[in-house]
Amino acid sequence: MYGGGILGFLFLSSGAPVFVAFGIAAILIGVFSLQIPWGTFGVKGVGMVMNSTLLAIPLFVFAGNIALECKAARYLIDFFDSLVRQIRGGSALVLILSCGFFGAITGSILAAIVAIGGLMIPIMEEQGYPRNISAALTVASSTLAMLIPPSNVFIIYGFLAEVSVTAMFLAGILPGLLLIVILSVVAQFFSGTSVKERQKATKQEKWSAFKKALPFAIMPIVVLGGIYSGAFTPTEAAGIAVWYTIFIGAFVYRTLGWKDIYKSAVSTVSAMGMIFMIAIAAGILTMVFTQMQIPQILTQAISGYLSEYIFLLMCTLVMFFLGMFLDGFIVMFVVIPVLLPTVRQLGIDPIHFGIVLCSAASIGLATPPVCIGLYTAASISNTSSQSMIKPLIPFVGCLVILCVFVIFLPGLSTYLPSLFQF
Amino acid sequence: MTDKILHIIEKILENISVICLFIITCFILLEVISRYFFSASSGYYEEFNKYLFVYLVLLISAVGMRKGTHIRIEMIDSLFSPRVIKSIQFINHIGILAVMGCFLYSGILLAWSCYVSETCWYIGNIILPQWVVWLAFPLGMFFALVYSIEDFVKFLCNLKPALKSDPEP
Amino acid sequence: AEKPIKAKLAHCFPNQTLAGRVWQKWADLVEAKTNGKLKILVFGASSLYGQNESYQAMQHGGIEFVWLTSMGNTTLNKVFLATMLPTMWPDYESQKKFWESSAMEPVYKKFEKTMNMKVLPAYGIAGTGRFWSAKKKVETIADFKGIKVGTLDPVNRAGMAALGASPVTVTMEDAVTASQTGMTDAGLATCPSARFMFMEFNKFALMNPWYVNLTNVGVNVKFWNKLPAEIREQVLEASRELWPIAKEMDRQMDDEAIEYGKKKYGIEFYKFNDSDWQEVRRIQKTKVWSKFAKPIGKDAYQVSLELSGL
Ligand code: NA
Ligand code: NA
Repeated sequence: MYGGGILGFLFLSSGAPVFVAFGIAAILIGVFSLQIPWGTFGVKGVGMVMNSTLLAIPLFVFAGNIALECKAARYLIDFFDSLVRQIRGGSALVLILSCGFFGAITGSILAAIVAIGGLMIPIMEEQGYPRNISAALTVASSTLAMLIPPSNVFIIYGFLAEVSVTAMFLAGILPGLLLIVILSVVAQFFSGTSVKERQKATKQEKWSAFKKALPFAIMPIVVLGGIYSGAFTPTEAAGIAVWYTIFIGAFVYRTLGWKDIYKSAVSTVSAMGMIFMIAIAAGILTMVFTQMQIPQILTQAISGYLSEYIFLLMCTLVMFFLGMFLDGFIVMFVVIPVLLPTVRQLGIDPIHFGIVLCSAASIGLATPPVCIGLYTAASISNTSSQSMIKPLIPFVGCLVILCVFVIFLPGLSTYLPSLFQF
Repeated sequence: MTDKILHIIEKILENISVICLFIITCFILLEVISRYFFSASSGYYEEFNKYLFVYLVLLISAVGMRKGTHIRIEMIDSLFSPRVIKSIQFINHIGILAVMGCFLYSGILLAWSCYVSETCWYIGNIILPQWVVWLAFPLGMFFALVYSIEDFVKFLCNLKPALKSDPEP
Repeated sequence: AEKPIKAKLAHCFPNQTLAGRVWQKWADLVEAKTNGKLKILVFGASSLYGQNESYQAMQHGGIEFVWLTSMGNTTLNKVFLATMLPTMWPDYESQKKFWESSAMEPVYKKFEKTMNMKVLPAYGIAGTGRFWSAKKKVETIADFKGIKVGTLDPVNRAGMAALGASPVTVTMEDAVTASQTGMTDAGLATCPSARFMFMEFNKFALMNPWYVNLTNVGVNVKFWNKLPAEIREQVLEASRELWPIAKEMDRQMDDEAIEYGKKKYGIEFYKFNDSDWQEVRRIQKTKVWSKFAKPIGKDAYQVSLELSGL
């Protein structure tokens, strides 16, 4: 039984695809130790993916990829630039705000890095920011795409924890805004004397930038407003987001052609193959854990000994540690079904728990050794990922601060959902 | 020749997945439109979308085996000598083949049992045999296995020259 | 003492629901009757297998017992559509007679042959579905017109459309959010499950039975045949004892939920007068039931019509 687990872990750490490692552990423990029949692996695996809640993920990613191909992020940046450029360190602010706003359109962190970082890092260099600093800031700000709805990780959490996705989308707003504030404050310390000050934008400049950005800027209102007002389910809203981006790309900005749509579709399905093959393998592994009654054993071991906050802190540490090596959603697929009974037993609001896990995951997301965001930002800014590590430390510190806030102020996550009676 | 055929299959699988994505997107629009403009909700689209999504995921994951895009932890490269890395990679290849083989076997059992027992989903007036959907699993795993074998063969072919040129640590 | 035989039962309902409690009760009864020789571990809330997966899992021997619901059973055989027909079943007894009728025997035989599944006479209850509305009290058939009803399945969708309501397709996961945001302004649910779902967003509950949910147990044939005859007999005995207990559990949970709804949310629980309700059922009979007669099959449809008392 342990052999299967150890072998799976060895495969995981030695560079085999994650789903293969999960599969090996599940098959060895399941077939040879628990005598689970072969036919049931496929049932559980495919059953995991056969769910309409999860359908929102490919659609939000598709919308984000189309937005990337529209090259409309430029208008967003121009607009924020016209608002705050006279402030010292204004372009850092523009980067953070644009990432936050782009995050309100997509759940994809990499799309945010490419769309916003790709445009902003050269601009910030002109303003006197060293590339490695702006690239590091991009990595930290891109986690906003995960915290600000729509968010793939929230959808996955909602699905696994049987929490309304709409509630999770509401819960992420305040922590997301708080992260914007924290990042903006910390970024100020990096806008030393070398950073140029700039002229305030005229009213006319602001207006014309606003008009250009408007079609793109109202998208979150259409999508999120549609969800909160009950016009659409999250999955439908994701589909509408796709059509909306196609519409503005093709008819308003006129930057989108058939080829671009096809290209976005290909990159979307490729990403889905990666994510959901892991979901399938993780589903099989979870089935094995359930038959071993691990969730019950854990609940008995933990409840009665640990207080709510100690438990949350421990989960954060586990999530952060695993998140250094694996994407947050991968950890969730395995960890949530195991932890959820304990969460219920301790009386923790599952919405709060979800936001805690997601903010812990965002730290891991911006932390080496395994950090796809870091490599992406390094490659689009032509810097080495090594040189980004030092400037990344204070920004990761911001994420840690956010995490502490989220743990000890449950209201940050639960206030907005409670307004909507969740 | 083999390479060309495998490449064509890859493109076909990729395009089927893309088509699935487009159909899903269209179905959702149709559902919203029919609800708001004809105040009728069929519920067919949502059901079909789930099944299309299963095909999308499983077919493209086979393509991912070929392109090497599946998520993995890449840390060992910097830790060990090339010789050690080669042997770790060899073991990994065996592991991948084993898992793909097991999943394929499991999928065939599943699809076959559904075919034999005639289980169906009843979507409005449309009767959809379940094996049609579950079949996505063995199909995806079959192509994934084919591509893992291809990858393994390539790995073995490159093994000898690579080891010869390595300087002894 | 001998080592107890261990078996697994998986279902998709949360453990605190009526259905979840009834099957835990059955497992307890079986353990007591067999003096602990057969232990059935119940995995609820889809923790092991969900509705889509549990039949196949049983067929392959991943679990020994599977829970049969009308909704799930329609994927195995269309005859079970009859058990879902809106307003057809006046009470639990009438539907139980249908499950036990001779029209169902060929279906059970087929299950045994193609699915490795033997159907046990272990009837449980998952509740009676009621019509809940948020905005207006539906007092006559005309009041149904234009109401947006969230429904899950084609049968109830057709049933609602036949009365002039506008069915909106929502999944179980979306049902709460949909009623909360006003995407739907009515829905179908049993009283206890409405309590956990959308009770707070509704004001009226029409108490005439819209649908009646029975559940049953299927067992993997190979496992069943390997059990000692004595234990098989004891399992059947426990199953027979379950029925009155299940009915009592249903009544209690229903009463509790109604009391809770009245006190906490001021919900009005009411009934149609007899002639109006018969008219609703007549509309369902001509416009909906008859539509599903063909997939259900001639014999079974005839039996269900007789049992409906209409
Ligand atoms: Na987002
Ligand atoms: Na990381």
